[in-house]
Amino acid sequence: MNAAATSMPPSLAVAGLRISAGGKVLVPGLSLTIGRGEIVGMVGASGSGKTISAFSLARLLPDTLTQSGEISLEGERIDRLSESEMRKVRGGRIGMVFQDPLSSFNPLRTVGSILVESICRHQRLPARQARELAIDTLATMRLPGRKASVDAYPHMLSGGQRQRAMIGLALVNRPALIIADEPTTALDPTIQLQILALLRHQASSAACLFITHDIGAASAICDRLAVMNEGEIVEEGPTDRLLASPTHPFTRELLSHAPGGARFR
Amino acid sequence: MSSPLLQIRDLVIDYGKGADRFRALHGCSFDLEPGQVMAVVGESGSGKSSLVRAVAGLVAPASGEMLLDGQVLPPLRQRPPHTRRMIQMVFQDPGASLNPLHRVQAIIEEPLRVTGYGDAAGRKRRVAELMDMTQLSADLATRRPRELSGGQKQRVAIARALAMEPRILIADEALSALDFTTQDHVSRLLSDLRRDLNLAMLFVSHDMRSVRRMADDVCVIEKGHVVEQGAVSDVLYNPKSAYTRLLLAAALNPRAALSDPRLAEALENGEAVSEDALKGVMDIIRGGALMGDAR
Repeated sequence: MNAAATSMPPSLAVAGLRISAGGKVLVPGLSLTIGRGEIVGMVGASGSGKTISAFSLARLLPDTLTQSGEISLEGERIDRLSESEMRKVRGGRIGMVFQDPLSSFNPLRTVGSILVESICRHQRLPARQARELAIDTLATMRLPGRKASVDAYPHMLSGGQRQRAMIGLALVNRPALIIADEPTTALDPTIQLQILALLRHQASSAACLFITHDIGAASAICDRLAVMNEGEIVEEGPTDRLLASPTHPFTRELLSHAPGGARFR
Repeated sequence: MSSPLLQIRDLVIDYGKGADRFRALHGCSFDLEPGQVMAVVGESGSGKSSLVRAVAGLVAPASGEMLLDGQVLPPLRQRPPHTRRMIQMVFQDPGASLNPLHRVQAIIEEPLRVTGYGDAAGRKRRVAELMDMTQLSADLATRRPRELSGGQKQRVAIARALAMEPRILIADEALSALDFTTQDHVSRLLSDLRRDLNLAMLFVSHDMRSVRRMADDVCVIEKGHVVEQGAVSDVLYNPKSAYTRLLLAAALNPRAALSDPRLAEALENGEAVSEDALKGVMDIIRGGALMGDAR
């Protein structure tokens, strides 16, 4: 790491994040740092606490869950922001990609108008410029036909195309952090690979937290992996190191069940 | 020599009529012997589900032949009861195929009741037997589907299918909605059942590891066309089509696939990837290198 990089605050710094439901502690104390341009994979089985941890970063937990601990975005504490201030952060400085775009996109709105609304809210651009930006963004996401995809309703796109549009929406306001929660899980394997390639390239301007149960998908694009079990990071390290010599039994378990994790022959 | 259990010849499946006609399958042929497992592999919309649905009688083919024990296999409504029982199906989403109001006991018992199997006590014994066969503990019999895990629900669906003592089990993405650990367990169960019951299977899947573990033969379908077909030991270790190669790379070593800049760019752009572009990745996979070994 060079001097300029060390003097810059990390894109995301989480310290002592604690999440509980009533008296039950779900995440006892999570700490994680992601630098600019870095993709970190948070990997674990269902129920390991990875999704609630990710949602808590954008302060999106349901009222039944309480969170405490420090969350800093580019050096600024966002855990203390009011709800109305958080609304400016979500979709702006934090972009989000979910598993199923069909259920997170409004079915009555065109993909273009969903992007335009987000651009107008966060960048205060006039409508015409916002539309230009939406068109450019969808083209950068390699959606076919400039006009066609802007004016398409979500159901008119294929699963892979919808996920491209969703990544476009997450990136359109140039966020500091992208949280991608199982973005490839609902897709065919070959389309998964396309979306992973897109995410890796396009997210390079931000920091990205990639949540998945699929250690194979995470390994394809992540610089570092954090393996979660029962609300705690049990092992964390550079992807190559972690895959080649996993130390925690749970990491080995995840690898042994992944399609490419055990010897094929 | 007697005829195979199932013979499929030049099967063509269309949806819609006239100008709106869409050809979902452009001709597919194979034989299935008792106890043989054939995997059907392809993307969503490739026609693989149409193929197995035609065998199950849920879709009427436009042309071609389907023979069961040498006899023509008509659409479901025209199938006599004993023919219906011989082919059973398990679907991707057990949540949607199990009645949420019924208890496990009643769900598995239903086909027995409908076909007039034994008396109440006899049916209860048979349900217990089926639950044992599918490794469901007896105390689950009084539970409703929402009280079961995804893996348990899929076992119930398998038990219900086996109640009819089928000779062919169709598993249409039956593992896809389960997490990896559960996928391993359920695919092991299916392998055991196939061995113990000499059950033939049509196994629709993306998961190359369970295809490798379970299937004898594989049929790869792309946009309604069979692009590759043969023994698993042949097709998966020596894939010819770009689609099969990409599917293997995606499943076995996605890190290696994306470490090739040209391949990564084509994928990002959503372009068709040539067989040639995948040669490097295939060499890595053939050499036995998996995720952890990628450079």
